Amino acid sequence: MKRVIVACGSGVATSQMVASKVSRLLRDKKVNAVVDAVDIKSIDTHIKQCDVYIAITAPTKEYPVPILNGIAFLTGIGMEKELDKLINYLK
Amino acid sequence: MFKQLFNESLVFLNYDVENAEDFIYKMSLYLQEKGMVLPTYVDAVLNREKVFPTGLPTIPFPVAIPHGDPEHVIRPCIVVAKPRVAIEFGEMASINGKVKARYIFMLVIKKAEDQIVLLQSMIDMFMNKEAMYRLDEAKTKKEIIEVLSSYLLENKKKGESE
Repeated sequence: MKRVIVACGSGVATSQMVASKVSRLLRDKKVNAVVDAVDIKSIDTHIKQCDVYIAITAPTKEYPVPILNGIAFLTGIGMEKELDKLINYLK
Repeated sequence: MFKQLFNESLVFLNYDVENAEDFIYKMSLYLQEKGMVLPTYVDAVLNREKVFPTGLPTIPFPVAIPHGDPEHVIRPCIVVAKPRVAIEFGEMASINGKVKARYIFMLVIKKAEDQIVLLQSMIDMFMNKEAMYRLDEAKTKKEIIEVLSSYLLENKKKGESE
């Protein structure tokens, strides 16, 4: 199963909000994937075990997986576009 | 869950603050006095806000959701504040972006898993124009809680039935 990770500064509030939202959106679109909220401090470990990274902090370096803008899922601005990209990456 | 997190003593209308730091400082001390957070909470939130700002450019009103790491929280709650004048917060996930937050929701939480449906419906509410205009028309703390409960509890039911 494909895995999406969402990371924010504490892994407690914002990343959880986005993870649950993304997981609901994917379910509605009948896309099968696991969406996990993680702590930014452990991102290097998680990045090796995921297919897409949804960032809620400004990314400071490059990663080997596609990065999507998590803010779109928090504000609704540009959300459809990010969701389409995500679904594409998960195909 | 809603009643545990929100109550009138944690609603602030026309709140007088100079800036985001001032808000976090005053509010953290208030929460500390009420025994909701540890004395370490204030620095935890201030530092986190510096590194990972929490302003959201939501429409119709930008909001900020400052929060600290869970280990500084004793009793979870959510503070709702409408500053007298919109307060500038750093924009989340942006290097230099700023938003002028008309509402500040301070998330004093321990484990998001426990409140996730509620947190999720809060985000949905921030994007819901009708809901936010209704919130903006509320004149008293009681009305603020009523508007929040009408949107958040309704959403919560939907979330649970999924």
